[in-house]
Amino acid sequence: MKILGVVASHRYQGNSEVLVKEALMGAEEVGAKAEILRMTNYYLEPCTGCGRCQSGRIPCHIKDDFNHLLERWFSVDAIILGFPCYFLAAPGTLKLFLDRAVAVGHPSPLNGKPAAVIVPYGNRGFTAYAFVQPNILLHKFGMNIIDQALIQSGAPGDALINDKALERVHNMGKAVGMALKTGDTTFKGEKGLCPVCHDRLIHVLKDMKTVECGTCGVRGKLRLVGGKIDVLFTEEDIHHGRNSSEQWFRHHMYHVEPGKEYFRSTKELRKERRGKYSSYLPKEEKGMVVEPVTKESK
Amino acid sequence: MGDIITKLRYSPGDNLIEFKQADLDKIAGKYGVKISFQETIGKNRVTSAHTTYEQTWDIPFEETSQTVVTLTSRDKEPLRKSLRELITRYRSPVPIWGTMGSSKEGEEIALDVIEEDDGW
Repeated sequence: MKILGVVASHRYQGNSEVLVKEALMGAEEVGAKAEILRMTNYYLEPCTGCGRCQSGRIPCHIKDDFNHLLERWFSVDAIILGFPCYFLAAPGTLKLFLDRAVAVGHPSPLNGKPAAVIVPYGNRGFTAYAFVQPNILLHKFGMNIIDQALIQSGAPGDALINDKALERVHNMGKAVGMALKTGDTTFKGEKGLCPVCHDRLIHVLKDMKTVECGTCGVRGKLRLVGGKIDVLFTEEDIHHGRNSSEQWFRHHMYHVEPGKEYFRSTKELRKERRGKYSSYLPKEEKGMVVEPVTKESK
Repeated sequence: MGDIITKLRYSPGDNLIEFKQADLDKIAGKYGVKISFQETIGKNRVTSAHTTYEQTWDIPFEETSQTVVTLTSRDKEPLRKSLRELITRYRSPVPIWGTMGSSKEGEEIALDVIEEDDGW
């Protein structure tokens, strides 16, 4: 019954790490064995969109730590993920990892297993997209998110002096541990609007009649219930959403990978038109060595 | 002027409901256009207990699983209206090659109508 605390923050002993560790302590109280993984200790290149992974049938060919990180993620029974909220959303480390997760097939070794998300943030009101990337990533792996928490922590180490926050994530860790014991991986967190990711990011379509969860693509009908905004999502709507392991797999298989054929079919036309752009401002053409600008990057 | 042809290519799971010729005929009759569909099951498609997998990378496009709905019309407006009704009912194709095989005019009209509803 192993739980992996994943920290996607550069700062050692920062709020993300403290909160994830506190949650792991909670999980250990109910019998889980905890491990920790600091994502920023590893080297990740960006996904190049080459498609060679064929929806997870072949490991990613990029020579960095991605495949090793995946092995760590896939060696456990539950994940507690923590990262700071930067510019309203998850930091680049997590997005880098998510983009590369296209190389994971379905079902992943984490399919059906429980997860929880902890996001320390600085300023109230600047967190609207904090759960988007983790919601995509964990659902892409087929995990069941049982709780998610935003914790205000303005300064480095603020979480250390926030007893309420520590208690909150301690209980979250316990809940993940209990989910492993009982097999009950239903969502226990604060009720949102989307029936899949429980977020409240509602995207209004151009017809100005239909709304969808911007993350999950589940469409519904906006309505007022007792003076409050609500969205009616039917089971059929949920079935046609995109944010599940199977749907992401299908998406890559049918919407992304046949792109090679499309690319071939339009190759000549693109070739004809490329000259205009390759001769214009050619300074950073592919293959040119660009000198590092700052002393540090040298 | 010749016929305007629009092809809508749906990957498995993209269309909200199953295509049936009788349903398409109703839309076609309403607007005076022709609508037909053809379903292809990819030869690489493998269904297991857990999932369905199909290798689509490096496979000739026409050999991958898809349903191609073809609309033929002599005039733009009936085509536009029938496309609007069809997309409302079934949704639109997702990837950029979702209208491949259409005539130039047929593709332009389809892309306009698809965008009216936010692309999908």
